[in-house]
Amino acid sequence: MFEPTPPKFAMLQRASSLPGRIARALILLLVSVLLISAGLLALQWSRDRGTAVAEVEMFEVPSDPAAIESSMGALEKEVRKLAAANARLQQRIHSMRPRGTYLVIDTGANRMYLMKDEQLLRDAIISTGSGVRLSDPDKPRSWVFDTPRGEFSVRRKVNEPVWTKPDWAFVEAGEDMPKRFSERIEEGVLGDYALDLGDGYLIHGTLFERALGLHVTHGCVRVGAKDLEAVFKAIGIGTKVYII
Amino acid sequence: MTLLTGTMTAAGWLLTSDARAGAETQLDRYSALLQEKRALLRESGLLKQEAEVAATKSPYILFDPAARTLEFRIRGKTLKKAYSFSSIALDENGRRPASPEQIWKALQGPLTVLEKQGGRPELIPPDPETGREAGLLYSDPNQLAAQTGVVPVDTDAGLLGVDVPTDYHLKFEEDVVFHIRTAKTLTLRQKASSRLRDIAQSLRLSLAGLWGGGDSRGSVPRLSLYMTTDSDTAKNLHYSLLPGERVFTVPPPPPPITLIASKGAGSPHNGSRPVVN
Repeated sequence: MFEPTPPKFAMLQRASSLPGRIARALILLLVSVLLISAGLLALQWSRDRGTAVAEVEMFEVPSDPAAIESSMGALEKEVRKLAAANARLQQRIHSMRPRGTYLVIDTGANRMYLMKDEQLLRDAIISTGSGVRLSDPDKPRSWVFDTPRGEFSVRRKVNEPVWTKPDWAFVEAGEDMPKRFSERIEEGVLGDYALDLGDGYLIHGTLFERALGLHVTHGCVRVGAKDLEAVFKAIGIGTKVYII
Repeated sequence: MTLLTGTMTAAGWLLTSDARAGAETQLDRYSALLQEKRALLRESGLLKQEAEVAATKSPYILFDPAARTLEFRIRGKTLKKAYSFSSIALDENGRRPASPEQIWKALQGPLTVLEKQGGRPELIPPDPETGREAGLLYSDPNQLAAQTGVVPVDTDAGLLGVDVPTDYHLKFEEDVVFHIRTAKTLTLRQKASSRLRDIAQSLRLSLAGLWGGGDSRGSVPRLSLYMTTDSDTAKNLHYSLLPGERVFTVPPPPPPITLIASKGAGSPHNGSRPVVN
């Protein structure tokens, strides 16, 4: 029996109906996304691969085995010479290491270690610099409250130290600069002892022992009363202090 | 006696696998010696740099990519326990581990700390009427939080309590960046977004290369290392590093090399001369 085929016009009409068009657009979008993603992945892969290939270094080698053998002799000699030179350099570095009694201050962990050669004599929790910056609103100057790093030595040992307040203390507190020097003197805030490291930096006591272990100072090293007393008695003027 | 055969290239002869098989022992020994020399030369460079700094009062840092540690030294002595990292990678999520080859090339010389993210928060003097009563010297704690990403530490009145970030970057003068990260469990959405970021970054680098800008130091750092650790270590490290401090890298084992047969009879020094860098 004859079955009429749908007219071409009807097919076209069905394909260009709204759901059909949406479906086609979605397929097109999906294919585009897949192609772009594949392209991006290929780019990344080629970049990684390119880096790896570019890293390989090439060295010339003599083409005949006799020449290789003689070249190897020279290389062996060079290697031995280099190894000996490196051992000497290592020895030189080793000879610079601290000896005797010294202090190590770890600003990251807020710890102080009293050492004698390789032996740990005392371990104390301390406070070190906050790292904040303070600018003077009235003058073009600023301060950064870091504990300095490096090798220092004890220049003075002070019993019952007195704090001479520097300019930043007044700027920080929002106060006017004092007219008289005596207005800068403050007693009893630095504890019973202080070890002077120079440039205004001290290892001293604190009224705020519960802040030990925090980065809260203006650059000085604050130590608890008992630890400070022990360290003060154990070291002399000239003792090295290593701050890291 | 084994005769070496190979393929002629612009740089000389690339040894074929047959030739390698024939002279395996001799070439292996030669290659091993070359590698030993490269390692010793690099070690010598590091030791000379260290000896120079160790003779001064300055602190310095030793970065060991193989051991994944940083240690702080003065006068040649390690004074601070090493900071260890659980991973060192070349992308944010550790998909591309840092290869010794890339580190070998990028970290030849010492690095100088230029900037640490979240460092140097500004302390604003208080309003005499309100600041001191509140027990904080920061006149605006929100400003501090905006600068460092963290809140002020609650301490006694008059103390400069400030915390530091646990995720931050360290920029070096030599165009190298260390990204310090703490381990996090990412959601599916975060993973997808980070993957897209990686792809976008990759595309950007590839396009920069197409335009001849692959080496443009301004936008693409020479080396970006993503180093994952715990939050205490990240904070300690942030406090410990100051701009101007120097970092030396312990050289990893030298990356593999390719031997090229030279056309003429080789002089004793030919073997140590790199043809391609």
